[in-house]
Amino acid sequence: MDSKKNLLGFNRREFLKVTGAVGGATLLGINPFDALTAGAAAEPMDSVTLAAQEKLYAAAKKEGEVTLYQSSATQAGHALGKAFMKKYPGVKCNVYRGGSTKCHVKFDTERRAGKDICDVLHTSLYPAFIKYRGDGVLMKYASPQAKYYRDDWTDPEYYAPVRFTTMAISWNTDLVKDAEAPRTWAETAAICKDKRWFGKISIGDPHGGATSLTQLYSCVVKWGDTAWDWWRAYGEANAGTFASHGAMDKEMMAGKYPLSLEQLDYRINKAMEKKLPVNSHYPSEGVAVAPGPAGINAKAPHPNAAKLLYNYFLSSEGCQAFQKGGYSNTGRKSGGIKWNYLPSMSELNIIDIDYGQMEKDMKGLLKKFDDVFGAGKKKSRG
Amino acid sequence: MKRIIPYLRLLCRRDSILVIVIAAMISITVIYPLSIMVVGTFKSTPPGEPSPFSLDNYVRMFSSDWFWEALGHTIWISVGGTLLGVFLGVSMAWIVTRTDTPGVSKLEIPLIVPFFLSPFIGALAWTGLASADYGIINGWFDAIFGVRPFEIFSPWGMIWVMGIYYSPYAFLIVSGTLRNMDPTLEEAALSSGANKFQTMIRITLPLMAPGIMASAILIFVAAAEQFGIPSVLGLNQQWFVLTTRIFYFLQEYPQDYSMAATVAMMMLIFTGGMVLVRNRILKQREFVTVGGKSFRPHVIPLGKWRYLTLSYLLGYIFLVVILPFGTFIAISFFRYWSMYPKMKYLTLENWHYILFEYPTTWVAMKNSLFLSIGGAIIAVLISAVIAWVVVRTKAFGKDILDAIATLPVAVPGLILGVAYMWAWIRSPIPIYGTIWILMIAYVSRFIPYSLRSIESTLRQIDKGLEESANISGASWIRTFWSVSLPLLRPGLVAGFILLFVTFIRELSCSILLYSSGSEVLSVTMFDLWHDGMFPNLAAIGTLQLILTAVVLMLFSKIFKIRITEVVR
Repeated sequence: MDSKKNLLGFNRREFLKVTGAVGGATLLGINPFDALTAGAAAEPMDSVTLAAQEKLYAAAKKEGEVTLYQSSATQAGHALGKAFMKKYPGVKCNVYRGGSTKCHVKFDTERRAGKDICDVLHTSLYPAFIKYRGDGVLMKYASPQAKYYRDDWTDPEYYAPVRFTTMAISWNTDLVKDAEAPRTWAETAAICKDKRWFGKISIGDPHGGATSLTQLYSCVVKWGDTAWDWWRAYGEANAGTFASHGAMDKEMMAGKYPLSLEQLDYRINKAMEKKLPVNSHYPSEGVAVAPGPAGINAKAPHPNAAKLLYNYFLSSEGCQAFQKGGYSNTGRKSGGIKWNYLPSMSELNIIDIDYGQMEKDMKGLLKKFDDVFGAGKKKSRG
Repeated sequence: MKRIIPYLRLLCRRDSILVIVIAAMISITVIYPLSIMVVGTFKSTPPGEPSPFSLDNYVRMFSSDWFWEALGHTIWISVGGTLLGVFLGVSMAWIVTRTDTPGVSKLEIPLIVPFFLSPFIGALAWTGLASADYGIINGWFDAIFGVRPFEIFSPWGMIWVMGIYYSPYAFLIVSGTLRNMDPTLEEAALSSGANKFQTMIRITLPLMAPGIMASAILIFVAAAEQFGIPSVLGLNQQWFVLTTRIFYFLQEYPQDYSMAATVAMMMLIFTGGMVLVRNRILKQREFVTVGGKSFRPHVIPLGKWRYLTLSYLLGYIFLVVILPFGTFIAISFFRYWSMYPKMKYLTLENWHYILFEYPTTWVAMKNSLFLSIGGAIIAVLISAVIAWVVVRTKAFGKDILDAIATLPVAVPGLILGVAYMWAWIRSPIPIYGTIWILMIAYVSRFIPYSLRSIESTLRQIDKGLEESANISGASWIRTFWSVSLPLLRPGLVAGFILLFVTFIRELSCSILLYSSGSEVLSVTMFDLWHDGMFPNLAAIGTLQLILTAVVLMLFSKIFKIRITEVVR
């Protein structure tokens, strides 16, 4: 599925309607971007949630603050924190932003030290949440909002997927023609034989990024040794590896790596919403998805504030604030904000994997990545 | 028992107690964490968890391709950076001290400005200049000649950045050597018939050799332990050196603490050995050059060539200071940076975001100022006490104290960070995750920097003044506070300024020890780089530069001290 084609696939009547709406909204001083992408306004909290929040708020004010560790875009966490503090004055929200791996490393190190700082954790490393739940690392708390989230990725008493991320091929349209860009995963490996792409493509680093790890695992589960051949080819083409997709984004826009074989959906969405020279393609033979749960630390230093934030994060209002800041998807059944360039799950051929098994297979997978990709890299350096 | 009593009396003396207390403090903050880290290299579990002792980590490391590759890369860029840094530093030192190049007295400060700048920011700035895909220098070459000759994201790029930002070390040491050199030896050679070139090769260079060697080893060690430059220019290409490998082990999930500690151990042996060699050479150099006489150096008239040497110095200042930092500041005003920056992308939104929306900015600024100013004051006071004990007293164990106090100079910042993780994660004293662990790491690691300047200042002060105070009835504390400290003021201020500059740009230790609420400016920039927010990090980097410049100017004006005196 090609995101840009969707927009250009509008017929003339629809196009005129949209243009008229945008123009009219602009004249009235309404941000047309909000009008197009907000969809319905945030759903109000149900009475059960409201009652829970009222009780928690009084206790949270005594605690005074809450700390969120999150791995989405920096602006997403700040938007959520700002909205939370506006709704619940007197409870300061500290937001620490790091990649998923970094968040877990910090969380685990502090937990090991008995110096818990994080109250609420949100990352894209879903397998880690499954393990945490089993190890008693997450607080058992049944949020009244959990029922609004996808059942397959939710444990109602421990975590819910506030976000999910899919990965696509994307390119800088100033430097790569649409016709040149690969459309299948097999093609991404085939173009590596062309010298033109030597040192010009980027992939994620599974050591440093949960989504990259999920991408690699999903492809290996679906295609086995063929997938490993692709990663060897990427190495031989001297692909740049990025633990941070933000940095990958920057290098793609700057022209160093104009073709990215694994960019995150929300980053593509943001770039295209901002009319940057970016296009993307979600291969029809299969796309990986990394659910992004949030959960409460069992040893949260501010347990009541943690529950207050968690409920707010899961609420439609909190979820939309987070989505708007990060241009991302949500695991809410209602779907939240409808973006122009962010396909929904139903539009994609999602690769189905066992995330619990992924946690067990992680170490071996990373070792094999080092061997296979590393061998390719070594060959590329001659 | 009778034999022990004199020793007990010696131990109970005030100055001996002081030695014991300070030595214990440094041992807890440096030796203890390093020891725990060393123990960790023989374990396979994270800190604090039981594990049988084994050599598995060493076997795994020595049998892995990645270790030898990272070691080879480390040596490659360290040697390259050293050669370039020494060449630039020595050539500039010779031009400034030994030739009639015009205007050199005004150029001395700009020539050492890179000393005060962060090499990490330097690397970031050079990506905007010399990246093959978006560097503006390549853009100029592409427009004129149709080629893009430079690629900063390469080992040669790392060598270039290290060489230019460490060249002031060589410049300062060698220019000091040249100034203190007795010119009569050169004059004797010239009057015996040797020409200028022969005199330089056979007389001047051998006399400069200890200074050149000392600066070469100093640069080599600094380059080998450097983290910021290879992380910016090599991590995304999976081009590792030892420091970035250590960082990589600690950033993946799950963390490999033991392997990080094992590689850190290798680095420690490597840098420790080099520091020992350097100290030997430095001691030799002082013996040769320090004396009671001052010399008028022999100046070589260059004729028309003096304008070429002037151009060389001005070119260095332009290439190393004006161009990269000017570009870095410019990047902060663009939405996107590219080879041909487009005016339509000029914006203030990066500054708006950093100043009014990004909550970490002010937290990091506050923490950096607290650590830089507060930490520098603490370190300088401790250094003053140590210097006084070592130089002025006959305290028991003062030489051991001196050795322990200078030990941290052999410990790279990243290694100290690893050691602190091992030592303090499970400590009952709740400092891990707070700003105090950063304060302790900064102070203990950088005491040797201020200790040297304060010790040398103290050695120049006549003991008679302190002895007069003692004879008049002042206690040793009163004497220290009212007589010694005021006389030490130039050394203390120089030490403070040096430490302030070092602390405010510190990255390698901070990147492992910071937590939510204890971020500092360099770590914030690193995180923004990691997130691809280049223009925003340029804005924060510019703030750091402004802060550093303002504090330096303020202190040098208030205490009437020349910046060049700080680093000599």
